[in-house]
Amino acid sequence: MFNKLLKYIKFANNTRAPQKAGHKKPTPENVSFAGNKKSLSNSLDDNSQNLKKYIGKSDDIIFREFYFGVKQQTKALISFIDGLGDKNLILEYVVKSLMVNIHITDPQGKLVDKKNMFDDLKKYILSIVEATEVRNMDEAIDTILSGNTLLLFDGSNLGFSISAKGGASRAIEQPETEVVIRGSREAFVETIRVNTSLLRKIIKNPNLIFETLVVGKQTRTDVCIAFIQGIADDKVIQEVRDRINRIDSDAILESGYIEQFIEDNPLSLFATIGNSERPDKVSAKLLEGRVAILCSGTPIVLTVPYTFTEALQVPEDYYSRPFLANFIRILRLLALFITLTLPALYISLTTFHQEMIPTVLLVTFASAREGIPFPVLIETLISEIIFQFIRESGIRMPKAVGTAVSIVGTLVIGQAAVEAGIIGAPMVIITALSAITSFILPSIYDALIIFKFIMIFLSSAFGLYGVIAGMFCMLAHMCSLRTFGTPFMSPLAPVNWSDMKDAILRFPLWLLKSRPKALTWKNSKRQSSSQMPNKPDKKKGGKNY
Amino acid sequence: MIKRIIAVILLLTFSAILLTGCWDRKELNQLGIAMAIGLDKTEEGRIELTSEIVRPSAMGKQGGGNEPPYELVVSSGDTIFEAIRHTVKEFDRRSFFSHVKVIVIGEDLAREGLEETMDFITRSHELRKTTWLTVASGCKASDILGVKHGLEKIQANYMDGILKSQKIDSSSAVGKVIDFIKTMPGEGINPVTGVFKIIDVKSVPSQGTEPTESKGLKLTGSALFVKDKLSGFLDTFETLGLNIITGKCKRVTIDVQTSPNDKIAIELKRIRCDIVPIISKGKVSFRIVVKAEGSLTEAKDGMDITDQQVFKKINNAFADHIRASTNNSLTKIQKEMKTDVLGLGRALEMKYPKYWNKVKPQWNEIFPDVSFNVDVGTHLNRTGLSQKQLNVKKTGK
Repeated sequence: MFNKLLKYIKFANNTRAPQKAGHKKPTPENVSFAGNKKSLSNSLDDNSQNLKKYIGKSDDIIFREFYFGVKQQTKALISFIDGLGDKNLILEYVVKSLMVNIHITDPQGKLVDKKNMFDDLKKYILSIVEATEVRNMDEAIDTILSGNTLLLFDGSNLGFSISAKGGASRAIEQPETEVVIRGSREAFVETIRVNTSLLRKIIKNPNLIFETLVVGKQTRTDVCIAFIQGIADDKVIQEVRDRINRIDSDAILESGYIEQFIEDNPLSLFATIGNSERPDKVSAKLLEGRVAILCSGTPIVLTVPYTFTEALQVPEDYYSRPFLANFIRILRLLALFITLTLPALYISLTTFHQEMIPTVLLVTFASAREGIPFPVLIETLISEIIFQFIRESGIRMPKAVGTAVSIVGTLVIGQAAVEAGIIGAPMVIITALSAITSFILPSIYDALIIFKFIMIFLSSAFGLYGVIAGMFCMLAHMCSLRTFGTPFMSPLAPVNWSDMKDAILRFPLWLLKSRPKALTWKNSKRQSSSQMPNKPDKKKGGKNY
Repeated sequence: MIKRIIAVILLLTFSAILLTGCWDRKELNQLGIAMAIGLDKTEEGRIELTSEIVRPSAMGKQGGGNEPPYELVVSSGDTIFEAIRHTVKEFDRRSFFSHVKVIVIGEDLAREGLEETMDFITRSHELRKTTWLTVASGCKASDILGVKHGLEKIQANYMDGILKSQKIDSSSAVGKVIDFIKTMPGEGINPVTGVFKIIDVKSVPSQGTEPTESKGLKLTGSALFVKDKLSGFLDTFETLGLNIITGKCKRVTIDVQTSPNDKIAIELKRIRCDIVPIISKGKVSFRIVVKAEGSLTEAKDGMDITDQQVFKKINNAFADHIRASTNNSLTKIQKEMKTDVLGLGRALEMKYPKYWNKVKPQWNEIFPDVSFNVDVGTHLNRTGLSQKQLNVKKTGK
């Protein structure tokens, strides 16, 4: 067993080592299907044959040859994936403008010169907005596979990559996971362009930059880095770029793949990369100087650096007035402690420190524990694990069955188990309470649940001493984490007083003068000071109101 | 090989953590939670421990049938600790004393001295020093634990409730273990505790029930000690004076005789007592200055308290009452009990430490003969919500 562990550690070190040494991993440019950098030839037939050799086996790719031109008829080939290209668009603005409208725009055939056909066609004939040039076979294949339309014609070694993407995509809907009462109802979708447009809609700033990378040898997934130039730290941007470029994987199916390939602390329970499906939330993070990573095929957008305090924040904290928002934030912190320690505290108090419980409460606990066949530890584990079962099945089940699961769950645990004397009533209350509170902090749910179980074991072995020691270890671990150059616990540890204005408490918006300094030192001024709204002062020329 | 050794060491450490960590563990359903204990001296001179152990199954919301909510477990031994160990042989759960609220001492044991008992309590990590300490008068401590009258299910809570509400009556000088331990050396002050007696309680017949006669407890008077030995009891009136002097009297209502036929009730709002030792011609005497503030809560017989003269009269009667009760207690404590529970020695020590050092060894002999002078100043400042008497009699005439 021990040898295996050692081997694993060695293995983990080996896998990490090359990254540190800056080993050259394949970049998107040299990841290719055909492995063929050959330029296109002047003959359409050659090109067509080549193309069909590589991707002609698949039935979903449409090849359509036709002739166009006024004087001399030129052969052309249009190719796209059925379902990804917008057929109407292609017909209306590509095929029609070449075959029909060319007689109107160029009746004498003077505009299109045979020798300079590519430029001329682009300038005078093609009435589609986005048409870029394709030089070689790889680009041609890429064009088709990424959903664009390829247009090749005889007598030119350049082709067109026409962006006429269509295909089915989900409409923008309400966010499923991060629901707010006050605030935008938009959520990201699976299409990366829609997602970037959602961000652009919010931040109309030329400095908002989207950089697209292609990751995944088989899936060729579009991954987009978004940041605001001038606010985000250039080093962080470069680090994100480097780390994404370092990924050498077959497939990127979800942003979680990227997260697990680029995170700072892969062996820590705490995630050091945030995620969200709300454009407004991601925009807020961009404006704070963070970098977002959008990934095609998922509505979940990653943000880095991700600090612990972000787990306690929701967009509504900023949209609603600060008083209740702050109160709820403190409650969220309380919920964190309840989730982590409540079952552990119950165990340690009832098995080690009975003298610390008020007498009446102790007698109540004791009467509930009368006749329970298990020690408290087993009792706790039973009810916690049953709850995890219910949760898991509730998520995986189809919605119609989900209610049945919850009814059975409440009946089985809530009542039957207590009445049958297998679990005490206080234990059910404690499990339920710590379950409810754990859902208050969804972004660190994973870590909390694991730590909760660690605490349960520690408390059953060492009592309160174990709980305290466990908490200290956890805190020390959290303080040791870093996320893209930023301490995970910043601004709490190391303390940064100016960032404290938006850590545990959120100060009024007019006091939040600067962006988090832990993320970006340069250009950290967000707004001018002395913006506190005030009554108009008559003496200073204010009007009656 | 080295790896294997490391592996074995690691495994041993892990198992040490996981297997032996629970040595202090006691599950709730293995505990007998004791809520009160009684200590008596048997005729053979052994210590008899009565622990009142809660039966959790009878305390649940579901009722728990007809089982009594607590069980009295009696065991004896030459020392208290031995008696506790003997309970294990006779009772199925290990007694747990952290939640003991009241310790009742039998009169016989109290007269023999409580030094060993207090020593055990201070050494024990379970028993708390903030537990109430009381003495059973006229019966054994175990008898006290068997009597319950009020609403609480557990007898200890019944006693606890009575002891807590002593604040508004002051007819008993209740004290906790810590107070006893602090005063036990007898240097300038001696211990005093509350006293429980068993009384007959009559219930008024309410609808559908027969009037019943049952036993109940009464906290009455106080037990005075010389060092750790019980020397005697004070009754309720004498205890009031004691409490006034020791400053334990708070928010007490007293009945003041204004004329042979009339009594009015005054609630003491604030009372302050200064003990001033005076040394003249080598002899010590004490001046006891009582300042009391009260408010009128009940007046009788059409007294017009808006009249300044009447009001003054009431105030004088109030002062007389306090003076009388203080003098009465002083005489009783000094002449009969001959134990300085008032802390006069302490007051002397604070003011004349050198003189105190001289008289300290003989203080218990000097105390009965020192002279007192009681000064009382009273002030009535409230008359409740109404000023005038409801004039029922005037219209009747």
